[in-house]
Amino acid sequence: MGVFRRRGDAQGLRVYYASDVHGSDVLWRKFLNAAKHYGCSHLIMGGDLMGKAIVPIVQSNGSYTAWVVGEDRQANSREQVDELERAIRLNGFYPLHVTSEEHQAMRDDATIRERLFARAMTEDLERWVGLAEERLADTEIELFVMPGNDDPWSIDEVLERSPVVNNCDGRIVDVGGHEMLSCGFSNPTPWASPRELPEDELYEKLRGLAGQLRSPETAIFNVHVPPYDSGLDTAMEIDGDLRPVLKGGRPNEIPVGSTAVRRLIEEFRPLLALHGHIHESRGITHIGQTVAINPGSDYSSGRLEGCVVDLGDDGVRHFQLLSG
Amino acid sequence: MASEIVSEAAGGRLFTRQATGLVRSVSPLSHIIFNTFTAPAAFVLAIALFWTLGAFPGANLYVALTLGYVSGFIFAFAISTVTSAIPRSGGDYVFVGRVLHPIVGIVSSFCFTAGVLLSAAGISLFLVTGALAPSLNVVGVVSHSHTMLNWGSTLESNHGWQFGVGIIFISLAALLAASGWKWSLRVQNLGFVITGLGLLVTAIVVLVHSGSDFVTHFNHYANPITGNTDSYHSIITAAQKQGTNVNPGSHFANTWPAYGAVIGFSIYAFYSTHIGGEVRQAKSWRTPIAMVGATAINLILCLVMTAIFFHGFGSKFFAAANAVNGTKAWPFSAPPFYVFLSSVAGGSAALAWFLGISLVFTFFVVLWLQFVQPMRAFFAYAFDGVLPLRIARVSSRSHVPVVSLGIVSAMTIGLYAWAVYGSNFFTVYATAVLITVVALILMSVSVIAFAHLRREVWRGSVVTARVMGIPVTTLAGVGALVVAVLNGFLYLHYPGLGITSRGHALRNVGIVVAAALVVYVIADAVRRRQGMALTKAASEIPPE
Repeated sequence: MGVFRRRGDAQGLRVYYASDVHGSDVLWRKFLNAAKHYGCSHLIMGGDLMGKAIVPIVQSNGSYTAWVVGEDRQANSREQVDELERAIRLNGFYPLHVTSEEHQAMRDDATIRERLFARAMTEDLERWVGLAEERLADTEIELFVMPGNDDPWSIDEVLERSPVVNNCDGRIVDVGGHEMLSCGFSNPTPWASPRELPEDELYEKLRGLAGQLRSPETAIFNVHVPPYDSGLDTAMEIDGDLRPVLKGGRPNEIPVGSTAVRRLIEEFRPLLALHGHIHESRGITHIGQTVAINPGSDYSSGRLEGCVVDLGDDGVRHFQLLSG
Repeated sequence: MASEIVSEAAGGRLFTRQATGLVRSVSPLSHIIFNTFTAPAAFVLAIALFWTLGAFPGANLYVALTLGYVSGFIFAFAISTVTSAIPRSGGDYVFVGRVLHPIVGIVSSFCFTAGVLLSAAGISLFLVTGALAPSLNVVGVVSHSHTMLNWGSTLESNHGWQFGVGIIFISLAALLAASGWKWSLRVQNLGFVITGLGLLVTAIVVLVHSGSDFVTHFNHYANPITGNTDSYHSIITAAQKQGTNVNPGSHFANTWPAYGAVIGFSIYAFYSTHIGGEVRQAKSWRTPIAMVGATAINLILCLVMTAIFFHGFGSKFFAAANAVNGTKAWPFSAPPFYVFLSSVAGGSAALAWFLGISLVFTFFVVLWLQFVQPMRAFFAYAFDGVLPLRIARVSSRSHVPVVSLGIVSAMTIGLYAWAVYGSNFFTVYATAVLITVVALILMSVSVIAFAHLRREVWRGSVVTARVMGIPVTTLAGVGALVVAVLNGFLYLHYPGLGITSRGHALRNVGIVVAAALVVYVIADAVRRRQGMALTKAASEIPPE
């Protein structure tokens, strides 16, 4: 009896996958707790860990001012400053304490703001990795994290240093008896983000990894960018100036996924394909026998979009999109 | 290491690095227009104004409209405070579920969805019998076309034709909703322009031909039908003889149900909460502005147009015509809607055509709007495991959400059949309003609780101000709760608003609430068997 058949039993493997937390502190904390919450043995973070913006908290005459969700907010006590920081972090931004002079220097000098941004990201990631070690070190839970196309190269070193975090990018790793291929690169985007490759080079890179698989049909593909025209990759078309392309006065929706990823899935027919990258294209689809999932991302809401997948030797037994 | 490109934004108050961005479909302008179509002036004038003039004679329509839309302001602002903090497609299902409890979110969403589906059926019926048929009659009367008159009277009286033509409109609205934002917003914004032009032309014509000029035009048109040289005043006399109060504004007790009639339409300018995830800059003040602004636009247009109609047609005649509509004292094929009276004032068939098309187009856009929420609700239920995932299936070829579209269309057609063959517009609409009240109450309670139960999210949102130490969000929620309860009370208290049997109406509400609970319990049992209880799946992961 299909719908009432017991699934996800003890013999299977239950993984939790999320992606694109983009610097949200609360989402990272939730991600680390997701295994316990949903009863999973493996946690997979599919890339784009780091935030996109820093918000200076400018100190002047004993008060602090910062820009939060479109308006200036002032804080006059330690408690109010903490509240300000939490609001900034909730929206996926990095709070940065500066004086008026330092703020002006940031505005005037690109090198200074780049240095400060890099420092903010590195420090936050080090704190995140420390948190992961604290929470997962004495558990059976395995943690896999890879950078995504938006993540700077500096974060790889931080991930590599940790004994708890498995940086699986560009590798084949074992996930509860299933081989997992991981790749954080994307096809070219209008934003020219740090980790992008032309489709043919991306295919060659992925093909090289897939060639190392012993059993592709039971493998997991953890590839940041979703397959082209899969319904997991629908986004607005953007021009070279990062403006939406209008057709008939309306933004034009197009598939922006990778043809290389689609080709790879069609050739190797893995059990499961996990993707992120296109936040607004949350969904589940089938490409041949492969179950392909993009749980989407809403990182500034404080809710972690993810999915739980129960895997067995016979295939994907059950999957569920979740909003935690 | 590649160099990061970090740019200044918002006047140096934010520094962003070059990274992938998210572009959403609905622009701020389209966002406001979207919300205006929950109660566009042409729609409210065609239904509420003429309905209240006939059903509640002597009511003060200025007061009723103002109270109705002020209630709309309160509700729109309250919901906007939570929507701007949690801008997710799914609307009340998401925020009520997150703030209170998932099962409360399901109950709220089921009630709202049922209300919207019933509204779709009612609006389809009114589109055919209250907009298209009268418009054909108006064109027939003004242009002396028997063909148009025949079509109009056939549509007004023949259920088979009503059903068939309604199905065509429902199918077109469903296809438009399924086509995605590109085409939907084009049609929506075109509809806004056409509706606006229709009202502008109406205002000009009525103002140019007001007072004695209108009396002359009306008597000239009426004479061949009534054989009376002063039909205008005869209609006022006939209404007075049947005991109708033809002085709008003189009977305050009737202003309350008139307010009820208006509030049935005017408090839904928060409707974009159901597309929160698809709106640009939804986490900013633009969301409250789009919701409250839409209410303001509709209020101003309704008040101005009502004043113009009273001035142009004469308030006594206007009230009398609506009171005697359907009796021997109103022998015309077209009801005394503004389209007819304005066309008579202008004396032009072209004008009648234009105003008729404008009204039908307005109703069609309102009908399309009814598909937007249920389709997203079914998607959200499927994604969350409340319903089977296949309901969220999207055609890989056309990218059309075929299953949810099919379900919503089938339910709308089923309810439309009931509206045509077993009920009438006002009963269908009043039933929809009453069922929706449950959702409105639950939404209000979640707004009240938002700042207290989801403190971190509230702190990170745009509306964090306090008044006497109480969050503005909480105060707005209390206001919304009062409005929601009053809305339900008025529809239960005044049978003239469409609820003729309280028992039946409350039973219908109970059925929808029970259906929500049953679906949740069954889904939870299925998901437990699969290893993930629904409550667990919908619960928030503790961050600490």
